[in-house]
Order: sequence, then C-alpha cells, then structure tokens
Amino acid sequence: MLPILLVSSLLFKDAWAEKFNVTFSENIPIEIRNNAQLMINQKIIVRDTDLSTHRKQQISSRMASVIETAAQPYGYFSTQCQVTHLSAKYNFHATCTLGQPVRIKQIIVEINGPGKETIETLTHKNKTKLEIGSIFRADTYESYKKQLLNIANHAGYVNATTNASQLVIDTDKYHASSKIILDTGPLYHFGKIFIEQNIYNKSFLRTLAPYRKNTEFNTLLISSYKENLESTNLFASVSVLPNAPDNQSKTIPTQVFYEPIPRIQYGLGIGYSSYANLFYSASIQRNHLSDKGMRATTDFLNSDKYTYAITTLSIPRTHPTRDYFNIQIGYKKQYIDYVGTDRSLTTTLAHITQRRPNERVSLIQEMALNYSVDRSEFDNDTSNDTSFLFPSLKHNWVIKLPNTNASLALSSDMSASVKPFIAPNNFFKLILQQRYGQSSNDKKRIVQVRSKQGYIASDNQDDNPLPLGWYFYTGGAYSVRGFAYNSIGADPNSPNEDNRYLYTGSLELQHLISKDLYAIVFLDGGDATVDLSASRPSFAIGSGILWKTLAGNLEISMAKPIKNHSGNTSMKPRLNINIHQPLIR
Amino acid sequence: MVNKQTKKQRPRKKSWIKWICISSIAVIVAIILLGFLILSTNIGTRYALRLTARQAPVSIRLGDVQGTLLTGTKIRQMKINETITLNHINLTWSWKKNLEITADIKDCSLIKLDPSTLSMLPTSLHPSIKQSLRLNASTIYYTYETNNLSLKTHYQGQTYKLSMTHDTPNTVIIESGHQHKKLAISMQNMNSKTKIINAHGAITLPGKKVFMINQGQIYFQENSINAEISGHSSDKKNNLHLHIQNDDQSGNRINLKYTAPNLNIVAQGQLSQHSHFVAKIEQSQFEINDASGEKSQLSIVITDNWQHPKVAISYDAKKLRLGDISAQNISMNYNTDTRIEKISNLGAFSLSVDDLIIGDSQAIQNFRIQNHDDTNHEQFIVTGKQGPYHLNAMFKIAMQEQDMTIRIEQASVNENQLFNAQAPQIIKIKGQSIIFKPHKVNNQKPVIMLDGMWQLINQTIDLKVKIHDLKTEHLPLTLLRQFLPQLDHINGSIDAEMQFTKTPSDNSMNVTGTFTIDVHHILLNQVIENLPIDTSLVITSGTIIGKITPNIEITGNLETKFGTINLSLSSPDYFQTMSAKIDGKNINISQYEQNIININALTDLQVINKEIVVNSKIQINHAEYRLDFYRPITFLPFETIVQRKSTQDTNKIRYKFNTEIDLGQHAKIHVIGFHGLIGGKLNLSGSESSLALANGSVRLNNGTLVIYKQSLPIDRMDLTWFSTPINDPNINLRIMAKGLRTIDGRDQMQQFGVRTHGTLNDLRFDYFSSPAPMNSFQIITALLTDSSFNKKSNKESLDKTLAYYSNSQNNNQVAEILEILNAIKSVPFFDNIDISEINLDSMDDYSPDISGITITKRLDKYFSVRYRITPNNQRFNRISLDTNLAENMIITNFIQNEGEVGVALNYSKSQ
Repeated sequence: MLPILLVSSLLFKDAWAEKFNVTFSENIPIEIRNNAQLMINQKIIVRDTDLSTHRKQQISSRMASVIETAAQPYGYFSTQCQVTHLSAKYNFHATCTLGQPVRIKQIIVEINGPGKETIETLTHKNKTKLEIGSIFRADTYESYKKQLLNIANHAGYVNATTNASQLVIDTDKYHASSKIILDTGPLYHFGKIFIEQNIYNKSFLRTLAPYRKNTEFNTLLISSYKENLESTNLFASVSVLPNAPDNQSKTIPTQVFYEPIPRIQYGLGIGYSSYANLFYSASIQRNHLSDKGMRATTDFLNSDKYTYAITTLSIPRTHPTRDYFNIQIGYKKQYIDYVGTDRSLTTTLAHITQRRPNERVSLIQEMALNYSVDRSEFDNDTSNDTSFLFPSLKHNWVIKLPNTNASLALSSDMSASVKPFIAPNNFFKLILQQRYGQSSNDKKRIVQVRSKQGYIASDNQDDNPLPLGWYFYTGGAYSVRGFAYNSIGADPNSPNEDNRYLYTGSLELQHLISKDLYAIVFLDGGDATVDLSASRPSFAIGSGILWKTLAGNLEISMAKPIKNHSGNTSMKPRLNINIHQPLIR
Repeated sequence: MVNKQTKKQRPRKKSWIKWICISSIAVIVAIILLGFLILSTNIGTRYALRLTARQAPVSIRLGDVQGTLLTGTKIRQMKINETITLNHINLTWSWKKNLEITADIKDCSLIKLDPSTLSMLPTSLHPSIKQSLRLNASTIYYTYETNNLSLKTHYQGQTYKLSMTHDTPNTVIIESGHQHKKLAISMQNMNSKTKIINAHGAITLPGKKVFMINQGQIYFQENSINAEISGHSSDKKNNLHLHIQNDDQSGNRINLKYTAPNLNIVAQGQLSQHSHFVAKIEQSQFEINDASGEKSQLSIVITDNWQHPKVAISYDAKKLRLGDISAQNISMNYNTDTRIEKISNLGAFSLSVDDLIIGDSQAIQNFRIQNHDDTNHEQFIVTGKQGPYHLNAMFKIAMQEQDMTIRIEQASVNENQLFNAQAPQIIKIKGQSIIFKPHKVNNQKPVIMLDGMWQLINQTIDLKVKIHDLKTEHLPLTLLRQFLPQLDHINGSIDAEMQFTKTPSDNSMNVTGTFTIDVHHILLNQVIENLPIDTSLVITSGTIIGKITPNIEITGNLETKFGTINLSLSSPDYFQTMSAKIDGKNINISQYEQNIININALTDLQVINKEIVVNSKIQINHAEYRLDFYRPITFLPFETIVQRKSTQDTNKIRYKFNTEIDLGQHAKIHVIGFHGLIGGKLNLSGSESSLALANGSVRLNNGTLVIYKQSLPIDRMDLTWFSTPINDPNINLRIMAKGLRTIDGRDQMQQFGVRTHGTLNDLRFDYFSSPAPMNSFQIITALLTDSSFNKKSNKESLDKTLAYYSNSQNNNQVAEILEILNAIKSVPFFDNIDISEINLDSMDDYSPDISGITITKRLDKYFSVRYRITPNNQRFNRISLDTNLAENMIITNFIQNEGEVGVALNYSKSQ
C-alpha cells in the first residue's frame, strides 16, 4: 500500500509541473502569484529549443506585463514588475512593487423586477464578503453576483440577469464603486410534464414529481424528480429536462425521457462449497408487467444445507421501491446441525414502505400476512407438520444521534397468530436488535455494541409445536464469533430443543493503525435456550483486523471460546470472515 | 537790363521763402499726420514696429499686431533670434507725471538648441532633447523721467524682480521669493580697461532654496581677471568658493569649489605659459526630464601654454539614459594634440559603451570608437557586437574651414564588407547640406551606395540608395524588432534600388524603387499571442519582391519546412491604407515534436481608416495537440470600467476579425483527459472592443476520456456555439461503457454511461444503464473504477482539472459527482465498486444507506478479486477470486463466514 501511495504522490507532483517556473518577490500575495503563474503558462508558449537572448528578454518583458495584468483582479492596478531570467532554462524571477491597492468604496445592490421583494427577503439572509474598505477582489465580486443569480433562479426567476451591473475602478483615487443590478425578470411556474414513451403509465410517473402544474419553478425540484424516478429501478436511463419557457403563460414545461429496463433478465449458477456441498441456482426476472412497473422475480437455489425457490410479484402502490405490495410464494428447506431439517411453503402478502420521518431517522416498515405449510424433521426421525396463517410486522430504524459521533440502529420483527386464525396454537414471536456505535472525534477509536433478543410465546407447545426453523439458534461469524454457525442452542444430546429465548451481546473496540485499517478486539457472548433460568451463555474473545472501505467493512479475525456450551464443544480458535455495513463511517 | 533783371528776381525770392514756409508747414503737418497715423492706426503701429524691428541688431520677427500705440498694442508673438519667443505681449503706456511704458508678456520661452541642429538628429529623440526654458507672466516697466527699468517674471514657482534705477544705473537688484531676498549686482568702470563687478545679498532659487553670496567681487583688467566669490545655501548643504588671481608671473590662478548633496565640482590650478589646470565634476545621480544618469564624472585637464593649451577631457558614467535609449559603463576620452598644426586635427578621441540598449532590447555590446595619432587622428575605427555579429567600421574625417568630409572606407559585419577602401562612401557636410557621393571604381560593387544630397535648411532631399547583396543578418535587429517584435533572427540577402526625394513643399518624403529579399531562414516567435500553443513560424527559404512607384506592391513566395506561404500586399499611401493576402499551405505550428498542427490558412487583411480588418479561412490538415491541465484564470469582471488620468487608450489599434476554421478529418487531441479525433467547423469573430464570439460546432468521435488512470469510451462529444463567447460552449458529451457488474447479487454484462449537456456554468448529467437499472452513484463508480476498458498510453488526465474544479462548484449534480470521486479516491486499491441499492440523500453528510455492494480488484483481463455484500442475507457475503470465461459467464472461487470455501459457475443474460 505504502509504495503505491508514494509512487502516486510523486506522479502527482510531477504532473503539476508547468513550463515556466517563476519565483516572486516576498511582497506578492499568493493568489496573485497563482494567477500570474497560470496566465504565464497559458499565454506564453515556447518551443523546446534553446531560447535566444532576445527571446529571453522578450519573455521577461511579456511576463512583467502579464503579472501586472494578473494583479488587477486582486485590486492592484499600479503594479510595476521587473522579470529577470535565472540560470536554468525556464526559470525566471519577478520583482514587483504592488503599489496602493484599490479598495471598495461603495457597493449598491439594486434588485429590480417583479421578484424584488422575494429576492430581497431571501438575500437578506446571505452575507457577502464584499465589505466597504476591503481590498477589491474580482473572484469575491463574481461569486456574490453568482450567489444572487442562484437565489433568483432557484426561486423561479429563471431569466434573472446581472448584466446591467456597473463596476467603476478609479485607479487614481484607488476606489472601486460597484452597483450590482439584478433584474429578476418574471416569476415562472412549472408547466405540464411531458412524457414521450408509453411503456409506463404517464399519470403514475407524473405523481412521482415533487411539483405540480403552477408550482413555483425551482431547479432543485427537477433534480429531486429525476432522483425519484431513478430510485424506482424501472429505467435503464431517465432524464428530466426543463423545456424552453413559455413567455406568455410564464411557465416552464418539463420533459421526461427514459429508457426502460429489459423485459426479461435471467441467470444460472452451479457450484460447490465446503459447507453446503453441491449447489445450483437459477433466477429470472420479468419486468414491466403493468404500466406502473409491476414485476415478477423467481429465485431458485438448492444445496445440501439450504434450498429455496421464491417467486415474488411486486405491485407498486405509489412508488415501485418505496411504497409497494409484494405477493410472494416461497419454498424453503433449512438444515440445522444437531437438530434437524425444516421445510416450509409460505405465501405472503406484504406492504413495504421506506421513508424518512425526519432528517436523522430513516425507517423501513413491512406489514405482511403469511400463510405457511411446514414440515419439521428432527434428527431422531420424528416429524411435525403444521399449517397456519399469521400476520407479521417488521421495522428498521437508523437514528443518527445529534451532536455526537454516534449512531443507533434498531430493528424489530413481530409475528403472531391465534387459533381461530388458522393457527395450530396461539403464539407470538418477537426479535429485537440493537446496534450502537460511537467514535472519538478524530475517528481513531470506535466502540461498537451489538445485542439481539428473541422471544417466542405459545400455548400447547408439546402438542403443536411451531416449525423447527422458527426457534432460536445462534453462533457464527455474524452473531457470536468463535462458535460454529447456529451451534449455540443446538445440543446433540437433547433433541427437540424449542429454544424460545435468545440473547446475544458483543462489545468491540476498534483502533486505527494505518489509513482505513483498524485493529480490533472483541468479546462476544449469548445463548439460545428453552428456559431462561437454566441458560448457560457461551463466550469468546477475539482479535483481528478490519479494513474500512467505501463499500463496507472487511473483517478477518480469530476468536477463541472461553466458555463453550454450544453443540460443538471444541475450544480451538475459529476463523471469521465478516463483510458488513458499518454503523459509523 | 540789370534793373529789369533785378525786378524780375525779387518776386522769385519771395516765392522761394513762401514755398519754403509752405513746404516746412507741410512737412511738419505731414510728420504730425504721420506720427498721428502711426500712433492712432493699427497699420501705422504695425509698420512702425516692423520698421523698428528691422533696425534691431538681432533678428526679430513679429506676429500679429493688434491695437494702436495710442490706445495700447497687443502683439501675439515676438521671436528674437529664433531662440526667444515672447507670447501675447500687451504693450501699454501712460502719462501722468511721467511717461511709463509697461509690457505684459503672458509667457516667454527660450529654446536652448538651434532648430537646424535639432533637425539633424533622429525625430524619435526630439521629445527628449527639445528643452526650452519657460518663464510665465513677465512684466517690463519703464519710467521715462526716472529712467527706471524693472522686469518681473516667474520661473519654476518663484517670482523674480530685476530693477535698475537712474540713480544707480550700473546696479541691478534682483528681488526674489516671498521673503523678498535681495541680491545686488553692480558694475563699475574704473577706466577704459578696468571693470569691477560686485555682488552681495541673497537669492531664492527654484525649489525655495536661498543662496547667500557673502562675498562677490570680480575685477576685469586688460587680459586678466581677479575674482573672489563665496556663498552658501541657507541649509549650508550647497557651498561655493571661487578665487581667481592673476599676476604677470604665474598667470591666472583659479580655485573653484562647489559642493552639493549630489554634485561636487572642483577646479584648481593655473592658466599661464606653463598651465596646469584640473577641473572635476562628479555627480552621483541626476534626472532632468527624460534624461537621467548615475555615477558620472567629468574631468578636464589643461596644460602647456594656455593660449594654445593641451586639453585632456575624460568622462565616465555608470549609466546614462535618454528617452528610450540607455547606455551602461560609458567612458569617453579626448586629448588635443598640439604637435600637428592643422585645422583638421581633431585630437585623440575614444568612446566606449559596454551596453547600448534601445527600449527593452540590447542593441549593441562593447561599442568602441576611437581615432589614432598615427593617422593624424583623422581615421576613426568603430567596433561593436550585436548578438553573434561583430560590427566593424573605419572612416576618415577631414575638416576644411566649415566643411567636413567623412569617408567611410570600411564597414563590415562579421568580416562581410558593406563598404571598402576601394569604393568608399563619401559624405560631405557643407553648411546645412549633406552630400552623399559614392566613389566609383570599376569592378567594385559596394554593398551600400548612397548618392545624392540632403539639405537641412529647407529639408530638401534627393538621395539614391543602392543595396547589393546585403546580408539581412547584418541589419540592426534591434531596430527591425521595433517594427516586427516577433522577429527572432533572420538570414538572407537584400538587393534594392531606391530613390528618396523631398522638396520644401512636400509634407513627407517620396520613395520610389524596387527591392528583393532572398530569405534563407527566418524565425518569428509567437506570431499570434494568447493562444495555448506555440505559434512561432520558421521560414526556410523564399523571395520577397517589392516595387514602390510610390504605390507599394509586395509579393512573396516563402517556404516553410513542410509548406509554402504566398503573400501579396499593396498600399497606395505608405500604409495608411493597405490590403494584403497571405496564402499559407501545409504550415506547421507546433509547441514541440508531439504537438503539431498543420494548416492551410488564407488570410485577407485590410487597413482602412486606421482599422485593421482580418478575414481568414483556416483548414486543419492534420494535428496532434496535447494540453495536460487547464485552470481558469481570474480576470476582471466584464462590466469593469477602469478610470485613469492618462489617455493612452486613444492610440489603441482598432481591429475586427472573422475566422472560419475547418477542423478537417485528422485533428487528434489529448486535452485535459479527452483523447480522439475532432472534426467540425467553427467561425470566430470579434473586435478590439467586443468579446470573441464563436459559431459552429466541434465534435469528438470515438474518443476516450482518461480519469483516475482509466480510459472511458466517449460515444460522442459535441461542443456547440451559437454566437456565444468562445469560453462558453454548449456541451453534449456521452460516455458509454460495457462491463461485467454484480447487480442484486448476480454477475451480468451491463451497458452504462453518462450524458453531460449544457453550458459550462449549467452542466446537467443524465445516467443510463442496461439491462439492469443502475443509479448515478453506481454508474459513476462503474465508469471510474472498472479497469476492463482498453487502457491506452494517453497520459493527459482529467483528474487535476477536476480536483481544481471541485473547489468552486455550485452545481448540485456536479457536486454529487465530485463527492463520489473523492470517496473513490480513498479506496485506490479497488478498481470496481457496484452498489445495488443506495440512497444518496443530499441532507446527509455523504453516508449512503447501502444494502448490497460488490467491489473488485481486477488482476488482469480474466481474473479479479471481489468481495461482495448481499442485500438480504449477510451469510452470503464473500470474498472471491473470479475468472471471466466469456461475456456472460464467470467462475467464482469464494471464501466466506467461518472459513467456508466454494466454487461456482454463473451465467446471466437479458432480453
């Protein structure tokens, strides 16, 4: 890594090298030096041959004149320079007397036109760096004009102009007087939204716009509309462009151009892994089934440990990815070590929404009604068949805590049913997860705490137990590190473990050792148990390295059990390869 | 008979007396009438004044006279001896008790240099040399009865009053300054041979300095002077002491000392049969109008019999400047030689100047001129160096009474003779005439031959100039560069026959003749300024032929390394109006070997009413142009009006231009990351008072954009101008790429890209992808990090320009891209980042919610390392080594979770 950085930094420096290297006398401000250096290298071009004495004299004289011009935008109009050639081929030295700078004597901002009051109110909040008595600077002056124009444009005055402004520089009195005249022009409103293609419902696409006809024109709303359309995943490309303003009605129509995604996408896969042995998969996606972007997806995967085949029909309500219904039918076969196999066929009708209640909180909510047919086969050759209807509710919150370097993520997953509702018994299942992270101000040290709780309440457990896959097991690289996957709560000597309780916890300390690379130490622990009072939690400690990238954290660590009550009683350290999204970047 | 005669004579006597009386009365009346006419009429006054002026011992020229002597006279101008000019003289008189005459003079100027002498010097020097002493608002009073005369005048802010009274006719009292300091100068004539001048008092000098003369006495006796003068300024910084003593034995003894802060004058010694007199003037710094100098020292030594003395003069200065001309390290020596009793004897003279500079350019180095005593000091040798050229000349000066003959026997540049001893050029200066006469010798053709005359007194010129095979490199380059600043060096030869004529009635000189220039090599530096390319031009050979009738017709056929330039120029009035056509074919303009633009250029240039109009057509034949980095320069805002007292802008050259540029089919660019062939047509027009506007479009076809060591294929790029400023084109850029991406957990071939359109200040971006949808974040990262595209050796990259641009960007869409770029820069190890779901909310401080990511390090064309985060089940997150078997098929070797390893074959397709 280090050599790469070194080499790239050297390349960077070299690439910035410019033909003429001009050194300046100390009294010249850095911004004038930079501007002069730029002007010299863009305006004085020489061929790569030896320069004649005359050419050097000519270049020196031209450079002096260029530097004097370059000083003017920074308020120095009586600069006098002398440039001398140094021994090296393209090296010159400039000695200048800057003279007295031009100072701002007067600034008048005059706003004319129908938007006078609106813009005056809006500009009142914006402070300018143009101050009476300060040295005149063209960049500050231009940026203030641009700031005014932006305010006017965003407020719907798209024809606003500052072209009538006046700037008078009196070089004898060293005064600059400016009169910035902003002519707002008329206020424009949004006009119609035109959509050329007929593949998707035009009215539906128009409802995704954050503006309506006659809303005051604002360019930010156009960008927002484009982002909203992009987030639907219905388009290979989409553009929203303002049309030419209609000067009679003072409206600006907008036009949407798009390229839809293909109608069919499919993929096939076959492989072998040390855990699941042979596996093969297939997926097919059928897009734009309706003019609102309804789509169907089927995914199939089969292996020794895990099999699923899920078909999902997504029906947009107001937005294809932020407010939509899912009708899903899925077959799933799951193998749990030391316990048995669970097969289920589930049909789900769900409503999923994604929103931001406020600036700091994001929330995903899923309300679903499920019907499941399940067969649980235990290692002791017993089996249990169940079928039931149950509603479920899932929430995911991510909260950024104000004024701290901390974030909190909370999630809840609730399922429940009662006997009259085609259920084997009355039951309630709740899973809660919490993640909290806090970093030091310099982001060199991070503390991360994770915890998870699960609880299942049901009556008539012995006669009509819930499906095997519903009960809790834990352990593995993503839960309690140092233990085999789902080995905690699975006891080979005790079949039919209906673990109704789950709790895990993790405390992790991260310390920066080089750019984006952290050393970590952690303590993980937890248990999945039938009876909370008889719980025997397992613990492990570990350490490793963590590489933080834009795309997520890659953790490679070793964890050694210090108390092991899992199905696999080995006390040997275990490798963890963990790729996850961090709470704090 | 006698009586008869007597009777007859008596009446005659009476009539004679009568006539005498009558004629006397008539004469008296006529005189009174004439006097009255003179006094009371303008014509009479004018005639009387002119008549009086003619009688004056010096030349007096009167201008317009108004009024009469009786009522008062106004004279517009009076010139005395062509050197003193009195303007607006108001002459009045009054008679109360006495006759009092008053003359008010508005201003008065005294010209220091004779106009005929001045006209001999180059016109460019006139403003520097022409110095006149100006006295403002002077008044002369004269009272007849008391015989009092006084003159009141102002000079450099001081008032001076000179008065003489009847009582003390030999004394002048000078009254000066606000404090009315008085200096009395009196002269006494003791006898016909002895005069005494006494001075005592104080005088206010310009600059309010008061100089006091403590003692001032000068005795003039026959052939001898005795003087004792001492004084000092009021601040005692300037001191003067002069003592002159004369006696028969030791002659004149002089002791002068004057010290001032910047000036030191010492003159000591005796002037006698055995003189030894030394005078030294040292001045550390001086500045008078356009002339200035540093560390100058003048010394004069007089020895031998003071009636025929030996004089040695030496002058040294570190720096001298006169207008645009300056010289460094000047040394001049002059010694009279009394051994040769000839009028033509000039004495030993030598002058050396280390550096002679005209404007900003060095004109001549090591300039030396001197004569030798073994040639009776008649022969002068001049040497100097101009760049690599050694100048050498030899001429003789012969004086005969007032006439001078200069015989240029030899002049050479690097041993190439311009004149030679067999055919010298003779220049005779006779009074106010300069006569040029070549010495004709058979078989000798001098390089330069002047034949004719130039009369200075009435500016009549009739001069023939013949030039034969004059090497152009021997021309004074510095002077040529005053007209053609781009000229670096020139090799060639000139043949010409020109006739210069001027009569007193002509306003300017007439020129007729022909000339031919054979060009061997010319280098012109940066022919067009302010372009980001070296526009220097090398001409390898050619001929320029000119004919002046006096219409000027010039034609030229010039060869460059690869092409030709044909030019034709005509001007009927010495370039007041002009039309020129320059037709260049296959002209290379280049910065260095890799940066070449080859063009055909047809330019039509007209000068009418002091305005230059240029119309040109440029066809680019082939080009390869590289520009690594572009940062915008900060200029003054467009609406700026700069107010200055000086009005230099009135001399601004007016111009307008219209250029059509056809980029052709072979123009290759490598500009700040963009690489490829450009085509299109562009029209540029503008003038000195308006912005350059462009119309037309430029298209980049099948190009690439290099950014972050990555070549992105450019589907198309159009830059379009609709009579808009050249720096504000409308951009339409479409970048398309195809690559293997992981979308929603599946690997598949994706086509994706970005379209940028709008003006530089209002750029908009649209993203597109197929078959699966990708958002802007995914597309930018895919474009900039995937290394599957063809890498080329194009080194110019957009990175630096973007890095600079990011600081000043307000556009939301651009800002978003730049943020992503900054984020990508922080993970340089990876080439490829794919994100399935992302919500880039502008309210967040760049913290996207990501649910599925694959990042890739491409090892080569087939192999890559990836790590993948799956959207829903984190146990499928994995690190893998992937092999791309075909466009839609990859084989994956992976490791995940608690060390689980596996291999998989994936195939994907879409319709």
